[in-house]
Amino acid sequence: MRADAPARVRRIVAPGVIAAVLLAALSVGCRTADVGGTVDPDPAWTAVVRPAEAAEIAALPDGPGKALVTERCLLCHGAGLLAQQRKDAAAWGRTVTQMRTWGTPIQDEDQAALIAYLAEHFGPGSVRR
Amino acid sequence: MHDPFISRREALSLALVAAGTLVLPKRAAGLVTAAGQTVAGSGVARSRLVIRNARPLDAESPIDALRTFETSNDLFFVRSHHAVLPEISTPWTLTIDGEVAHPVTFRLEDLRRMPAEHRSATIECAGNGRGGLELPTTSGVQWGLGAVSTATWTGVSLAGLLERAGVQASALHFWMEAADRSPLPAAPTFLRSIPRETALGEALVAYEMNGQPLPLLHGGPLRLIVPRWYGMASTKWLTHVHARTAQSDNHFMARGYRYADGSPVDLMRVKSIITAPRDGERVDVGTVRVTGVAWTGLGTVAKVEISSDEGRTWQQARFTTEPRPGAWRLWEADATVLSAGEQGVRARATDTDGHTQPEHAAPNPGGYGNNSIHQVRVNAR
Repeated sequence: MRADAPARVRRIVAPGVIAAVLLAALSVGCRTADVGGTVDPDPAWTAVVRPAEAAEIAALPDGPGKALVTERCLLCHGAGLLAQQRKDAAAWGRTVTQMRTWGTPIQDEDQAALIAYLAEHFGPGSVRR
Repeated sequence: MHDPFISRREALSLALVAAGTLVLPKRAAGLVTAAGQTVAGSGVARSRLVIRNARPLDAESPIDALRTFETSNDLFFVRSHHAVLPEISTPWTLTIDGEVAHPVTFRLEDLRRMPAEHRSATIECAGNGRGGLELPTTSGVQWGLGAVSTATWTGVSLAGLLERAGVQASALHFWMEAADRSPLPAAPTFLRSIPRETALGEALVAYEMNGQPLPLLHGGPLRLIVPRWYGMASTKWLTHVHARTAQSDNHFMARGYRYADGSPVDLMRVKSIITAPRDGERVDVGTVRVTGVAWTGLGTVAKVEISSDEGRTWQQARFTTEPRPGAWRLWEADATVLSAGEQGVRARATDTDGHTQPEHAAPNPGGYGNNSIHQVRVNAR
C-alpha cells in the first residue's frame, strides 16, 4: 500500500496545516488583543455556548465518516448546523463538492465515506436531533 | 469624544468563535460594543438567546423578548455568515468607489459628525421559520420563529454619502463589502448588492443600535440597514460600497437567497407572530389576552386578526403602536376559549398592499420567506 502513502499524508497534513494557520492567527491575536496577554473568559456566555457546542459534537452519531466530519466540516461550522440538515446523498454530494471548491481539505478517497455518513444520519426523514 | 472604532480585542472575540475555541473576552456576545462599552442589563439575559449554530454564531431571540417595540440589544437575534477576523482595519473606515465622481473614504468619526438620522426597522432573517417548513430536503439554519427583532438605528443616510461621492447615473447597483471572512480563503465572502432605488431611498449606514454603539455581534461598528428587506441586505461590518453597473455576482447573490422560481429574496413578506401566550401555556377557560407583533415589507400592516376556533372565525386585534414603514406593530386581542383542553390560537396579518399571510407558505428549497400563519396551542382548564 505504499502508493497510498502520499494520499494518507495529505489527509493528515492538510487539515493540520489549516488548524496550525488558525492557531497561529489566534495566538497572534491573543498576544496583541490584550495587554496582559490573556483572554478573559466570560463565564456566563461560555457556560452557555461551550456546553452547547460540546453537546452538538457529542451528539454526532458514531460511524464511519464521523472523524471526517469533525476534522473537515467543523473547521468552519458548528456540528449543530450539520445535524439540522436533511439532505439525500445527491444533495450532500453537491454540498461536499461545493465545500471542496471552497478549499475544505477533503480528498477524493474520503468523499464517498463522508457523504454516506451525512446522508445516513442527516438524510430526508431522519429524526431531528 | 472617544472614537468608537473596533478594538482588536473585540475583533478577537468573533475570531475565537470562528475557530471554535469558544472562549470569549469579557463583554462579548450581545454585550460588547464597538466603543468597548458594556450594554446595561445583560448578565443572565443574554444566555436566553437560542443558539442554532455556535460557529459562526447564529442565535434567535426568545419569543418573550419580542413583546416590546424595540428588542434589547442583548436579546436581538444574531445571524453571521462568517466571523470578523482580528486583522480588520482600525480605525474603522468606509470607502465609496466605483461609478462615482470622487471616490471617498470616511472615518467613523467623520460619519458621527454628520447630521444623524434615526430609523426604527424590523430585521427578519430570510430563513426565519425555516425549521417549521419541514421540507424533505433543506439547508441552512433551522430557525424557529425568533430570527426577527426590531431596533432604532442611528447613522447617516447612504444616499447622502453617495451624493458626497458624486454618484453617477451609471451606478445601478451598490455592492456592500464587509470585514467578515471564512476561515478558508477560497470560500466566497458575503457580498450582497442592493439596487439604486433602494440605496438612494431608505438605506442607512448605522453606528448606533437603540442608543448604544453598535455591538460587534450586530455588525458593529458600522453596518447597513435596509428597511423593509429581509436581513441579508443589511450588511454587517460594512467597509466598502462599490458603485457598479450590474448587480453582484457573489455566491450569496447569484445562487443564495432565491425562491423556488429563481426570483430573488428581497422584501419581507407580511407576517405576524403571537408573543403571548406561549405555546403550551396553561390558561383559564374564558377570555385570554393574546399579544403579538406584525410587520411587512410592503406599506404597513393594516390588520391583524386572531382565531381561537381553528380558523373558522376571526376577530380583529387592536394595534398598540402606530404604523411605521419597515417596523413592526404591536397588537393585542382578547380571545375566547370556550372549553378545557388543548386549544389553538392563531393570528394572521394583512398589509396595506393587500397581502394576507397564507395558511401555509409555499415551500422552496432554501426555506425562505416562511410567513405561514402562526398558531400557538394553549392548555385551557
